[in-house]
Amino acid sequence: MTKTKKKICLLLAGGTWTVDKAKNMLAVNNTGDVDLWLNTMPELGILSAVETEFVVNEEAQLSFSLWEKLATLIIKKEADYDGFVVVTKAERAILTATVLNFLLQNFKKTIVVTASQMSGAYTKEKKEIMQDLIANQGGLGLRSNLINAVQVAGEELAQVAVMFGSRLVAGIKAKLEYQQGKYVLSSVDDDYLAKIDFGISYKNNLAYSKNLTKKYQNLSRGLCIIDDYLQEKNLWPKEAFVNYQAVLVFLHDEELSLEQIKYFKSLEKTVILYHPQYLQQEKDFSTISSCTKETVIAKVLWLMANVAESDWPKMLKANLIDEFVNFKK
Amino acid sequence: MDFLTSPLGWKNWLLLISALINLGMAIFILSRGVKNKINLYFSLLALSCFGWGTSLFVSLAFFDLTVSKFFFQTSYLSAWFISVFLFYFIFYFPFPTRVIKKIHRNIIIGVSIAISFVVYTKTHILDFGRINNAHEVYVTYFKPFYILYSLLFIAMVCYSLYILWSKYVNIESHFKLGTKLLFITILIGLVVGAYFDLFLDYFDIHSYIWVGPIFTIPMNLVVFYLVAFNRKQ
Repeated sequence: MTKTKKKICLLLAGGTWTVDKAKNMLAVNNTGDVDLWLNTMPELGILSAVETEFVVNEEAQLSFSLWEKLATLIIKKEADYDGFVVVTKAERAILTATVLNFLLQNFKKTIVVTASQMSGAYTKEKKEIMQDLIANQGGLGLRSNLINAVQVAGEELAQVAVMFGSRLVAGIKAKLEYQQGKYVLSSVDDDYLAKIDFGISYKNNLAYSKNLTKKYQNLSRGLCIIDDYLQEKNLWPKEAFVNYQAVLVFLHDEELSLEQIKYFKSLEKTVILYHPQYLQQEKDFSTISSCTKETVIAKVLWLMANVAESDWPKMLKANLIDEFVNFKK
Repeated sequence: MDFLTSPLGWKNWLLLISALINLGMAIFILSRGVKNKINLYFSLLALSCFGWGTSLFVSLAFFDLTVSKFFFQTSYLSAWFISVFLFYFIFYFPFPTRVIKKIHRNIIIGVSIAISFVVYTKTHILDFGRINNAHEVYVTYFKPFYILYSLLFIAMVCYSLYILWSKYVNIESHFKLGTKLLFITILIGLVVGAYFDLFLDYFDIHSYIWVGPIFTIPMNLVVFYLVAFNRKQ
């Protein structure tokens, strides 16, 4: 009896740089590029029944509509595929994974986000880095990332995960650093869904979440994100916040100064304070900690678009998709 | 325990140690998940290496000629399975780059079944005995089968190495080093094994048959390195 191949949908949203056998660079900038690009990775067709969906090109800016489009496409095609692989730019991969995590909560199809080491519309200024990567690791990493991601997409994962290099990490725990000319993925709590060593070694007992699936397609555009460190010396005028519904403040200290409290109160907006690990409770503001920066952005964007404002403080404290983590010391 | 303390004992010790290393690696890799074909076929490969080393060890260490001959014949069966599982392992490591046709699978199964029977018959070994009742054997092979067996074995291993090399050439990033190290260690194992356990044997030089199994250790060390010293990349 022949084993049926898993059907995997590749959603192409930037980050598609790869090289062919002659070391020529290829990327997907329109649907016409897909076949040639896919031909450089014949292994994908051996591993799974892969179909592609062009979403945006390399030039496209990061936008809310891109994430909403990805979620809408995945919901629409949910019944047709066993899993989804989203290809996007490396620097967007974690945020994309966490946003999809909140839009498609406890989704019962595996979604993996991956990327090439390099991306963008302009190749000339990146030529040297590209040549270094080709010389040192035989390519731009996308091919091996995609081969791994396609295999992973056939497994059951409880959350949207990021596959990059030799690690598979849940989006809510992922950390991508640029080291010695290339991106390296790690986990903030050293917990990995899989490691690529001698093939793919998965963590034990991976399975879809048993919680109820909730699907959303909208994100709020009304969030202003500020860093208290940048604000310290030069407080923005209140008028700068007119178009925003809420303000998310990344704190560097565990508590606000009196001047900051006064300033944020004067904005007359919902202010959410975030510190990755420790936070003093502030009676005038909502607070959130024990999660990554990308997670808090994704959660607040989702929250603002889909939950009544009165419930925000309660929902910020709720562990909706296991997003709270213990950071590695 | 004469075989351990006699002048030839250290060779038996080495054989035994290499066999046990193979057994340990087979169990270690298998414990990482039998669902993964890379784990499965590497474990079967390591078990075949264990079988090869153990059967040579028993045939050299035990004086009973019937037992000794049976295990000597078994060593050829184990060696054949090394080539088969090496092929399947390389086929899936680190990911498949081609498809095995059903006819090729059937040929491999057919040849394996045939070898499983023939190695225990006179078509393989015409005469078997001990030199001066010591830890050295003399063997008279039926040469046409021996040549056919050797060619099949070398063809299987060379084809596997060819697949691994073509993977290495096209592969990216973190897989590159592992593929390269495995290629080198398997090539060394092939050259040493083929020389001491096929070529010299053909010319009735049986004193070095213990050398081949020892050279399966570098391959295990590479796999252990890949698993234990896996870095973020």
